[in-house]
Amino acid sequence: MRKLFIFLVMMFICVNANSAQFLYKDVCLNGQGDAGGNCDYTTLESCMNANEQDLTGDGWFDVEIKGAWSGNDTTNVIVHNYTTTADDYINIFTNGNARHDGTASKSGAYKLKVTGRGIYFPGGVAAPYITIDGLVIDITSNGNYQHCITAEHILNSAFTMNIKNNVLMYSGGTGNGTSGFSNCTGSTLTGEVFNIYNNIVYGFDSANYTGMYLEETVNLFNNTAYGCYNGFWAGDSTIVAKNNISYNNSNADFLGTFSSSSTHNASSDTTAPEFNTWYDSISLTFADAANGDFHLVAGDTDAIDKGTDLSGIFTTDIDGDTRTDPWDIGADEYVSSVSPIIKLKGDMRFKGDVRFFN
Amino acid sequence: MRKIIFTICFCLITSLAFSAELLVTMRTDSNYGDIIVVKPDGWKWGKSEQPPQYVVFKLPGISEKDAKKYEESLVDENGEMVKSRKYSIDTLEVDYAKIKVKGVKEIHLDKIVEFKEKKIKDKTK
Repeated sequence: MRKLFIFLVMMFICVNANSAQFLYKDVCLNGQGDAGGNCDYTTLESCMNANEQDLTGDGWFDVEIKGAWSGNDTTNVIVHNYTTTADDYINIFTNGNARHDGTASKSGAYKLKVTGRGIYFPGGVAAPYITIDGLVIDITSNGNYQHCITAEHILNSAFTMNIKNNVLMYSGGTGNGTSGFSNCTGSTLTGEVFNIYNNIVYGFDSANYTGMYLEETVNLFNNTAYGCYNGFWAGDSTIVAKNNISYNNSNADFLGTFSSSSTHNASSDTTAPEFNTWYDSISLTFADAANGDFHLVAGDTDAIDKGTDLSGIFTTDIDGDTRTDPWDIGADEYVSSVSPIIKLKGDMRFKGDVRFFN
Repeated sequence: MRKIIFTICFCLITSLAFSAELLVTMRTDSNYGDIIVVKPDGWKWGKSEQPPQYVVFKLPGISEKDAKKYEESLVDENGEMVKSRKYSIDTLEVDYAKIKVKGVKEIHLDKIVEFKEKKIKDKTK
């Protein structure tokens, strides 16, 4: 009996020794929507600045952006002075009213709208293990190299950066080299991984702008680039691109040499990486591209059911819809808006949570 | 007399209409007094945007838009960040503000200090 008791105690200790959430902070506007009146911080930057620390051995740090936002967050975010590990990382995400619907125009959704860099990992220092999930970032500046997410010239170190379900856009003037995401390093890193899933990037349309400029080890899966000068630009041949749509970009939809593991990418021009399966000269409509709505519509058959199944890595699209086999390409999984017809006859009684799916 | 009252009222209204609030960090020695966020007057700050991490100052006579420049970083000629903030508040003012029991302390432009790259280099010598 004693042995069993000791065994159970040991099991309890072991289970609890695993990494768990260490720190939680919320970012919201007091009293807006579901935020209540007791927010920790009212800008993402004041949160990230105040909590700079060594997370090693402590667990991960959740930064939840929540509540309805009646205005934009207009302060550039600098992420540095954190020490992280694969288990002890930073997790920035939107939730509830603050979460976008796959467009930048949803009322109440959080938007980081800034002059200059959006979220910035300074050069010359190590980047953290971090996830950025579900943000709208709008760059309005006309300066050079001002990206929605900037991880350039970072120090050689092991880290994983997950960038998923974001809307990255540009609404500024002319400049040079601005993009939705850039990890131009100028050197070769070891041990780093950039996972870039389910993002929409658009509007980087001046000369030398690009939707995403990519170097190092990148998994670029199910993203949509639209209306940029260049869509996706591979600076290294280590960029594995799968299920991406790059459409209506004035210079090139895909630029550079991608990894030969790339597959199921689609372009409106003829630049889709010609590895495995690819689609070029495709024709898509989107729901309302002129107003930033890149949801697929029923007629977008060049994208619907044209992807490869990546369910071992993620299972939803940019706005949380479940991906179904065969997968669509791009950030959105098409879901029919037509209500299913359900005919019921006779005496039926339902109790509890009853749901009907088409 | 009426003119004086009118002038005082005008000045009061103007200062209220064109005021900004500055969120200033007190967290570490190296960035003590740095201006982190600029918001319009009357901003409802979060519960952690107060001592011991931060202190708020009111900057009268300047709009949020014009005060926004105090959020800038110090960058080198290549655009790389040298220091996360270029502007800070005089440390004595911060010391005073953090022990102030009620209300937001007003501050004027002459208490805002601009870092120069040279200063930083000198510090590292």
